[in-house]
Amino acid sequence: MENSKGIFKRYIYVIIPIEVVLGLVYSVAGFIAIINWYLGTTGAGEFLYSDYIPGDLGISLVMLSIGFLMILSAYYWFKRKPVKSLAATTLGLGLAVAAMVMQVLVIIASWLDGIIVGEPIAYEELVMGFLRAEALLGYIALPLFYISLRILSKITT
Amino acid sequence: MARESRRVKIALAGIPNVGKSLIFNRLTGGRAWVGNWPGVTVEKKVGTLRVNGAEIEVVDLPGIYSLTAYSVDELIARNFIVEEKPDVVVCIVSAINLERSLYLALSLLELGANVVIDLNMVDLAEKEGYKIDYKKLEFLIGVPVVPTVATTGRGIGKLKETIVKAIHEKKVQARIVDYGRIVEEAISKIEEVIKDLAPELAEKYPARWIALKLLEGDSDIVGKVSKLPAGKEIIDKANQLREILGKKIGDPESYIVKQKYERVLEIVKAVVERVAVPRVSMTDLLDSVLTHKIVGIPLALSAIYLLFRFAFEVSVPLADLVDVAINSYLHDIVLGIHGLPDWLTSFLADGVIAGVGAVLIFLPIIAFFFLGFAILEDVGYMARVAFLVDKVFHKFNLPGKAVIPLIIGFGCNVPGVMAARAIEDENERKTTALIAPLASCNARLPVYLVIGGAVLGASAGFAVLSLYVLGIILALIVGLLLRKTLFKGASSGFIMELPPYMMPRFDNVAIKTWERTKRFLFKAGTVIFLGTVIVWLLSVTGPEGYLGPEALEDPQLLRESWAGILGQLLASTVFSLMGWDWRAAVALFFGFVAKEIVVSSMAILYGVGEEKIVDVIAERHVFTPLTAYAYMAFVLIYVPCIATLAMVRNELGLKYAILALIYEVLLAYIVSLSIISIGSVLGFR
Ligand SMILES: Nc1nc2c(ncn2[C@@H]2O[C@H](COP(=O)(O)OP(=O)(O)O)[C@@H](O)[C@H]2O)c(=O)[nH]1
Repeated sequence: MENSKGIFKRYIYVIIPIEVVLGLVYSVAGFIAIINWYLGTTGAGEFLYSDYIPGDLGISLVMLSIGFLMILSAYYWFKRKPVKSLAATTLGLGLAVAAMVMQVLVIIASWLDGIIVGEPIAYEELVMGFLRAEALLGYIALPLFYISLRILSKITT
Repeated sequence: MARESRRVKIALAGIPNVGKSLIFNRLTGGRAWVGNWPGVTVEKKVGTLRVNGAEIEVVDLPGIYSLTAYSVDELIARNFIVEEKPDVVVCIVSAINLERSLYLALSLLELGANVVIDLNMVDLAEKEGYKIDYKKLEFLIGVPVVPTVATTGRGIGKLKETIVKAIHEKKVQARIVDYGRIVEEAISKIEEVIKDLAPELAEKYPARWIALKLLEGDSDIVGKVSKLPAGKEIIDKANQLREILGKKIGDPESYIVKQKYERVLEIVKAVVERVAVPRVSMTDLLDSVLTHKIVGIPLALSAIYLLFRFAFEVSVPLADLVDVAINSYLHDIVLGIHGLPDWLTSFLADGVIAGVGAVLIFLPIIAFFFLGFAILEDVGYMARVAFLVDKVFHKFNLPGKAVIPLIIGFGCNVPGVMAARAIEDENERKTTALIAPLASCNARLPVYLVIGGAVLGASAGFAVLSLYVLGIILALIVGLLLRKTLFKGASSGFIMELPPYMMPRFDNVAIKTWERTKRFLFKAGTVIFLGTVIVWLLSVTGPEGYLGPEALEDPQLLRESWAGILGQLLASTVFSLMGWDWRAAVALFFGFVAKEIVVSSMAILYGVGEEKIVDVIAERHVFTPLTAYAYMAFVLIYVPCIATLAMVRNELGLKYAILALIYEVLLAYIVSLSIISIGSVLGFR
């Protein structure tokens, strides 16, 4: 028990600060996705950061949820509820990883689709897909997710 | 009885998620006959267990929590045990959910079954830091108990041995629960009356059990007993005793349930030993966030969004593969066959291939949707979603579990209606099955996309989203109305298990995905095939006789066809207020068959391929934005497709299928008309 507590603390000092920053970035990206969605449906203007952030209500919901969980986990941490904090962290990071994996799957799918339909494949577009916000941030979340999952399984049954 | 001529038969019972499917596979080697239980569409799986050269028939009973008359599944299970008298009933008990499991086990014992207890998931119990003294359990309930781990096969050999032994040494423990002096006296009195007046009944059922059920007021047993010659007398006696009991102990049914549960708790307390220091479980910890009443909701929506993304975007290559294979390759082959009569070529190419092809293109989307759903379900997350919406759904007198049929319904309404089965309360189940078709299924989406894309431009995305929401809102409202009128009754509390989170198992996920997708495939193969044939036929024939395939290309000629006449009639009468083109109106009529057909029949009626239909609708100004949106809403609501209706009929009977049909058409009409009138007042066009 002592030992796992020690590990728990050390990791949380690494994860929490990164996570707060990550959480803020996710939240901002989520808001921009809503704005872009609004711009898209009304045709009121050009997308903001159009290369990185789509105008999609669904993905904005996902990114806002991730951001919220990450900030919530920091909040729990300061409220001295480390275990709850870790749960929020793991789920936030998990959702981030899921969103990233989905984006990567979608890219692979459109690449395969190009082959099947026999149309020239827009490689540039595909590569840009890997740079979409939820993918980019997801790469950072992946190792953190692994670590937090490890700690979580150490301190629970 | 001619024992020798009858095959030895055993049944598997257990609460949902105890690992029953795995045990079934372990016992039978996975080979099973799948059919339906008589009279209902609950699936029945039968396999063969081979031990020492003997063949034993293994019947998989539905997953259930008790043996009341409140749910179809429970009725099936108990009728099977009473009527078919299996030699052994293997009750699979979850070591990590001992209470609910043992409640079922005691119910089976009371029914007079020859029970063998399979104490499954002992590995998980050990992981959570406790042990179950199975020898003591054996002693307390008087039937054999075998610990197993279904995932690894631990204990299965012993289980087989025990089953074989139990076939020869029957043990009956019908008096497993003592209900206290007052109730026991009442039970004995009724038992005597039954033995005196209806000995044939006492032969078939344990008299004690009948007595208990009569005291509980079990609708099924009361019905069965009253049909007997001496029925009235027995019932009167029972009612008299019920009344006396009621004064002393309150509602006899709740009292009996409570007593039985207390007995369960006693047993649990006696057999469970903690071996390790308790720590927080991973499940509880994750649930503190995932089932949080505020945080949980956006998480659930995010999960569902990712599920949709998976279904629609990741399946694209497969969908296109199907498209290429059918619409180009197969289509060309048919057109290339020389010597076929014209009508046959047209029938095959424009009717069958175009129609069924349009549907099969959805197959990958549907399969991916169900795959994603099955993973979320197997992990244990869907139970949390039901838990989350439980509060909101209760305001509409619906249980949280009703959300599952609605979500499955997003994929395809047919398995959606079927999924309502998991709801225990009869009134709630019927209501849910009737509202599940309002979930906007994948088949409606192409209609939205085609018409929205053609007419609504940039707002199309929002319009489509709003239709999904509209579907759910209408489902809740209709649900509330049904619960206030036809299906009155108190709504049940949240009684769904929140199972521990687990890694999804490949075979489980694969089977669930296949089962649900199969229903869609079946629908494509039968109903939709027929539907497209009818569309084609009505389009190339008319009062004048056969018009030839040219009718499909020549709008003037098409007007002369049956389809054309019908559409003009609809457009000029019922739909005159909506301002829809006659071709759009007739497409709705064909959509009765399956909503996928709306787009393909529009394509046929406008004489273009499906890929051009968007352009045609946009160029010819078939709709204004307002009439388009009203049309999309109409398509959302107006009827469940034939396959869904057939499923409603299967589940609830013809009467309710007709009810579903009528209420949806009326609702669709009202909603569309409201959209048009309110929209024009607000200045939309
Ligand atoms: N660890 C463990 N998992 C099990 C065991 N038995 C079943 N499971 C898991 O429990 C889940 C439910 O099993 P399933 O056979 O579908 O249950 P059913 O609903 O009763 O048919 C699956 O994910 C199984 O892998 C067991 O003995 N040990």
